[in-house]
Amino acid sequence: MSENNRGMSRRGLFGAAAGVAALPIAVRAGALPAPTLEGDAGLAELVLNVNGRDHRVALDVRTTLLDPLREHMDLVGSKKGCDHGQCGACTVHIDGQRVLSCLTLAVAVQGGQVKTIEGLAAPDGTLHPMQQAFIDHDGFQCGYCTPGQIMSAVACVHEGHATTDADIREYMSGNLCRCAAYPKIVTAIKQAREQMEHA
Amino acid sequence: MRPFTYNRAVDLAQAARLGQQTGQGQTDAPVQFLAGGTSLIDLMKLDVLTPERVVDITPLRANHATVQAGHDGLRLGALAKMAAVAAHPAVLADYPVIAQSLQLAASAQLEHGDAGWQRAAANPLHVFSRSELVCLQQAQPGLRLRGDPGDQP
Repeated sequence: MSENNRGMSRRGLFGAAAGVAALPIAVRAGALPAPTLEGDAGLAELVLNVNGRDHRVALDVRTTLLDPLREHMDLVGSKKGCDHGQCGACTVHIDGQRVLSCLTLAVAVQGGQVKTIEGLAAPDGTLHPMQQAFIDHDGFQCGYCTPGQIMSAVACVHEGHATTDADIREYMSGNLCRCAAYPKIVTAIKQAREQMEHA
Repeated sequence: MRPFTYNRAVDLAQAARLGQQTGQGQTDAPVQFLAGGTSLIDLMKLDVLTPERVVDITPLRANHATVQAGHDGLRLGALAKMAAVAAHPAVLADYPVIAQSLQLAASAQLEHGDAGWQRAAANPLHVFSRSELVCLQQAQPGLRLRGDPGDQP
């Protein structure tokens, strides 16, 4: 057992566990009707496009997007902090705009393009300038809020709200960092902004 | 969150029909409209709102999110997002208080999810009931409601 686990990454371990957990869902999915637009209370079969890939999932209609990302798609980068839209750790992009995945019904996301922190780097593994800038400037300590911070920061630059330090602080106010890495996050965003604007 | 039936609105008439049983109260209304959800879903998670049916009106955004400024005032489509209203050139130029209040009222994530007119009209993070809308309309005669037979002015 320990022999097999040696060398297995933390993410790999989560992946194996998630695969087992997803199995009963997949079995149930086979018995379900077509995608639910007029959804009864209960299970709905949905197609969610995440990081350029379609995922077919069977979910309770009440499920908010963050849960299938983490529990069904093995995309555990987006974090559940408060689950009430106050901390921003669950921030993802839908059709290029930053949204709180904990307050977004998964069933309402059908037809949209979801991007999570896992989809931000280039296919060859080259980090997005914002990811690299957070590393360059130590824009985090424990790292729990970081995926949400980075997704929010990328959108902040695209919106044109990263022109001044004050603007960055205001428009990043939906992402809390209890390690208080804020000054370094502002510095990181300024570096990434330059690179993104010249890309 | 309590179980509910989800409906995706196909047009205004259908959404209004589904919403006719909203009742007089706010928290006990059996039907709630999902226009962004940053308030609604949170209140449903907290069991403050326990609708039997949620009507998702975000598919109607394309036709009901315009921001128009003219001599007769400012008209906000009910599904115009806070961020869109706050960044509109006419709002910035002629209604700076509204623009600034929208910019500062919430985080960017909420501003991309929330309908802007709610904050411009009155109260942030607020789900309006039908009766409240009628009161609001009396206080602000320019507010137009859709959904009644023949539409209220």
